[in-house]
Amino acid sequence: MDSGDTDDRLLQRIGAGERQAFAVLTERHLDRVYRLALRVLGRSADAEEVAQEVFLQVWQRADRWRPGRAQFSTWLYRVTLNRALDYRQRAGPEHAVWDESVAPGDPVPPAEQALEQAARRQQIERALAELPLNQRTAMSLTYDSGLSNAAAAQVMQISVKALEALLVRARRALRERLAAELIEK
Amino acid sequence: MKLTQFQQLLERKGSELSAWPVWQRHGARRLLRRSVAAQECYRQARQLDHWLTHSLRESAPLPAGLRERIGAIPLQMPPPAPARRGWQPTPRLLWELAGVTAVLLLCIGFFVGAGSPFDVAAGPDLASLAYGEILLGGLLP
Repeated sequence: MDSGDTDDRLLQRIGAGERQAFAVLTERHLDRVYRLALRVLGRSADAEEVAQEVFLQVWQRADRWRPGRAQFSTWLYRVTLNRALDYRQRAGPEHAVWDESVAPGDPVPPAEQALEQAARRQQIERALAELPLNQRTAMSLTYDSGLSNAAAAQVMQISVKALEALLVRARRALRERLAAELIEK
Repeated sequence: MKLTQFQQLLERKGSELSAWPVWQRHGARRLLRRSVAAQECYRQARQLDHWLTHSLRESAPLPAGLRERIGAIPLQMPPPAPARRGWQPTPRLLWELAGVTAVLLLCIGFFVGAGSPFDVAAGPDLASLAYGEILLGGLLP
């Protein structure tokens, strides 16, 4: 489906009302937008709502995008993060609970390896869910979205140094939680 | 590079050495060649990064139907703004127009002043004007 157009070019086409371009852009970014919202909100239904709001905004405002002034993905993650934080604030602190239902059973059927992976995944998710919100967000932008430290800092509107401080604390916490497994492997 | 510095960099920048600044990358590689402890730190950091990247991406698949719901947005919502709103000037264009207008006004002022039909030298005395003498003189026989 991906047309190979840059995000900027797709936005130009969306600005002209081209649905196909919107479908390509959605295909390209939806996974990461959803996962970032999920890390902030913890509930699949809430993350879904935020993702829909974000892409609605893309559809309605694509014509205002100025190519070359910023990277679209950075803008998109910032909008996602802001929307998710607003949503979280409106919904109250109880929304910070991790939704176990988002972790599916491992699709690979057999045995020990699959079970081991599923168990580890759950362990990592729990450990992540226990991190403070800003550390969790930094981890999500780094690992889920695959952003560089500089880009993640831009999305969070903090300095690179501040972002790296969050990553250091988060990685230490996760390493402690997973110490036994890390040493075994 | 010392082991503690290497560990701190792994925590700050992750285990992808190619993303590190060049001078730190070189130092790290030199350390890795000679230190078993550094190699073990690096292995653990790689493992953690690998788990985080893969586990997290796999653990949050898109909910069923979300892609379709978002794909349907263009069918349900009006087309993007420009089709409805028409042309609007950008802030830069507005500034440019303001500049051109100011220059034009200056030019007009200059030409009007330079080509004035009034002979300033032969004009009335300002002091007389102030006291209304000219006016009175013109009215009186």
